[in-house]
Amino acid sequence: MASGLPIIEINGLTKTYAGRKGGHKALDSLTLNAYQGEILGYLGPNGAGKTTTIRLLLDLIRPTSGSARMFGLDVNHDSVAIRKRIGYLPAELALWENQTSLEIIRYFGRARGGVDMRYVRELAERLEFDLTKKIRQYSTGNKRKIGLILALMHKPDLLILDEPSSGLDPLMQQLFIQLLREARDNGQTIFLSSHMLSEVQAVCDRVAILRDGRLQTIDRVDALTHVDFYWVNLRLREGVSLDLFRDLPGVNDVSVNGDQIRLRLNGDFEPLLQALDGHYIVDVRTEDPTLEEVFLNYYGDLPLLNGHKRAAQAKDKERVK
Amino acid sequence: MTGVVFFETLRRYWRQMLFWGLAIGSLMAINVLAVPTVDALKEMAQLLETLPPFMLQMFGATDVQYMATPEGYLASQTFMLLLLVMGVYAIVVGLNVTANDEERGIMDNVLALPIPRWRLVLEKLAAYALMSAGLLALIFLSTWGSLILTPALQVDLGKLLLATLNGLPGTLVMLTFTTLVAAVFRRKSLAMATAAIFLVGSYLVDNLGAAASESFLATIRPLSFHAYYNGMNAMRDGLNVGNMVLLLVVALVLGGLAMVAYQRRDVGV
Repeated sequence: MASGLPIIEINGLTKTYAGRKGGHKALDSLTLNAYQGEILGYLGPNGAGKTTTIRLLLDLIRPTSGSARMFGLDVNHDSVAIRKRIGYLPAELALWENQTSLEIIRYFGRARGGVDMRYVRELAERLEFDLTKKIRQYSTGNKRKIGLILALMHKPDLLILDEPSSGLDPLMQQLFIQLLREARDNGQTIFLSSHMLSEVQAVCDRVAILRDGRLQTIDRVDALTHVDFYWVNLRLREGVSLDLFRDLPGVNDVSVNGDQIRLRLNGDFEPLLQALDGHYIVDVRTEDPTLEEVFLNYYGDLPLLNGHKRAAQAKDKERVK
Repeated sequence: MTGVVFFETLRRYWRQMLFWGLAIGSLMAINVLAVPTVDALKEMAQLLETLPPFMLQMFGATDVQYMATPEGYLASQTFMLLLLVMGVYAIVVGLNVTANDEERGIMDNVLALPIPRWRLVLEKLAAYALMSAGLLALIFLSTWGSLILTPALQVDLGKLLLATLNGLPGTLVMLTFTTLVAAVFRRKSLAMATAAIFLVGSYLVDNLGAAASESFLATIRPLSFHAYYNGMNAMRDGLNVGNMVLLLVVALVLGGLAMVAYQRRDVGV
């Protein structure tokens, strides 16, 4: 996983698009690594800089400053050698509408020095995809499928996927997650840009969260979700007043519904237990936050996670060093 | 893999070349089939003699008696405009080299393949250059076929072939110029407009400059690539090899610049 060889090494990558008022900084001093055999999730809302990062890695656009290497090669100078080892699925897949999937697969296959057509047909069968139709005849979901086949068909060492499962139905999303896991098991590295937090949580080893072109954090999914707060669900024999929890250290977002209490606890249990002294506790359950809650914290500026955010950034800086 | 883009471009666009050949060839054939007798050409020459000389020069006609011959008629009715028509074809296919795929977002996929950008441009240019030659061959065959059906017009086939071939270097200039502006500008509409202005502007500068020998247009006429085409007199005087080589060199330079420009700039933003 993260201890493998670095497949993607991004160092201070910045991209500013020319325009009025000094231009628009789409990516600001991005530094991160992706390691061999891991699935790195890349999260951020529209305009955060995810696609810009991918386009810089593919040498479609050139950085304003900073550098990036893949497989130890410079993405600008050695882009052809790098692209031999990459499978790419763009967020908005566009292909020649008057060509059939098979024609495009053959063309891309020849450009890659040949692909195993048996594997292509196997992928098509698993994705329940008809290769003989023209691109204009496909639905949005089927266009994603041809994109996936084009990205996977040559069994690349690195898959760069930009919103790969958008447009796929739930069953196909499950199959897609399975394909990603198989790819990882085969030693392939996956850089997965996504909005779908459930998908990222299900399949990624680490997650990088991007905001306004800046990296907010990068860490293992379980480390991000095992942050220094969790949800506590209590059931008491009798109902209690909300006032009981007012000003309790580490206790936030309290909701009381009869004898059911739900609150967010940051820190030790002791102050909470002291406050409940004299009340009969029937049941106590705790939940880790979901990745979605972690993600929203980075976009909601909630104070609770700021400590973790700083710790995660410091950790990542250490890793880079 | 070398040649993959070249053969894919041929596979995908040879039908387009056939349709263009059919359309331009039909126009050529109509011009030829419209001549009932050689006397009709003489009557046309008499009519032309009544026109002011500058008007004749504007259309490249300096010798009215020559226009009364089958070769002269063919030159004035078809080869005078051949480069303009081929120029339109060159703009259409020149935009196919990068601009169309880039505007549709397809180029992201293509450039994720292990193909250098310069080679993508080179192979597509080579394929379209070959198809331009193929289109001229279709135009030649169409003209030849219609001449067979028109006994009034007897034209030497070798001269007809050379006059058709004469259109190729100028077409390549237009093809590579369009590719260059599409490689430099990120917007297809801007590239298309620039190429169209270049084509029409060059044609007008050549013809108006020829008509008004003392004017500014006459001074800048050497800058017009049409000035090196000589569609009117190629059948009579033969090919001007120097001019053809010059146009081919310009096409090579423009093509080379297009490759460099596309290699260097951001794609699809």
